[in-house]
Amino acid sequence: MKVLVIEDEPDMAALLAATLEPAGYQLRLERSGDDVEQILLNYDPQVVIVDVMLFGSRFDGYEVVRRIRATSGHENTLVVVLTALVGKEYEQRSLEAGADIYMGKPFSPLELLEKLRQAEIITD
Amino acid sequence: MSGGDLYKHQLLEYAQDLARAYSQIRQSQAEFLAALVSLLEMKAPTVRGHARRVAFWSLRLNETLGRPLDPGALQAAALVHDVGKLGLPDRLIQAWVAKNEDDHRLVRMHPELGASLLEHVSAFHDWIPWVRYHHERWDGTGYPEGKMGEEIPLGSRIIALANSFDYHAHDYGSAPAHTVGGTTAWIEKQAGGTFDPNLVGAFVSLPIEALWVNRLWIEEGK
Repeated sequence: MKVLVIEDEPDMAALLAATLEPAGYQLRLERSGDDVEQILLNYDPQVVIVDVMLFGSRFDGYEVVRRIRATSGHENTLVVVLTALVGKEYEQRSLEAGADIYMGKPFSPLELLEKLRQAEIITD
Repeated sequence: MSGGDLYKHQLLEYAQDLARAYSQIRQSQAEFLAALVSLLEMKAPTVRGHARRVAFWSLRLNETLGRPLDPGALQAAALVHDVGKLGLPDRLIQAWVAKNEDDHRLVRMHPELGASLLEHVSAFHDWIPWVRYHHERWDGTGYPEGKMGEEIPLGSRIIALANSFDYHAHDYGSAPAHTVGGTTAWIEKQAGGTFDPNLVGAFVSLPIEALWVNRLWIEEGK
């Protein structure tokens, strides 16, 4: 299963890679979602994990999620928002933008793997 | 929370999840083995408790020897040493003892059947040979391969002794049990024949009567 990770913090991106690759996921890491439509076209992931505060980018994570949903063929791609903005309002904003799953940082890697596994079972 | 603090907290989450995942894996393995033992005991109620007692005596023997084997692995192998009997016809599982040559031939397949079954779980691979060879004898007259002396894995030699002790000393209903003292004396006579003589020496040095009377394996089986 191909996973696109959009995360501007290199340490966090490395942790995500260390979590997902041994679990069998194929990963592409991006520091920005400004060109997300092009990346979706080239990479065609089944899952996108996106941070909200993407420093140095034009779009924040919510806008990236909206653009994913507006991209043909990715209306149902599993989108996980992974953010240090923790609270009900941020969860609601993420879901309203079109995310399937919201997780606050620090996140439980086991919970992330479990949610991906559940999604995989459903889409199989 | 600053980026550095967040990263530190995230690493703590990873450490906690790792510990949780490790204990879940170990617990799932133990529960799976317990389920296999329960299945065998459902088929053969007369052997109920045999697996736990063999594990109990195997662990005591391993301790007396200075713990040469991983106790967790030895306990697992001892618990499921007879699980291959599930692959035998029900009449043989229930009878416990073979009555003719054909049945003997079938019964002698159970160590390999058990090993084959357990090989489905890669985490068990280190100790599966202990199951496969638990009916080998020190003098080379055992089965399935007629291995001799130290060719037989230590785990198998330990389980073999514990298995025979329980088989002789416990009351299975079909034949009168030997006394603990009588069984111990019989085991001593088998040193260098059926059993590794070093293990026999270590086994008889255990406070066998006291351990038997206290029935501590019941507690350990919980």
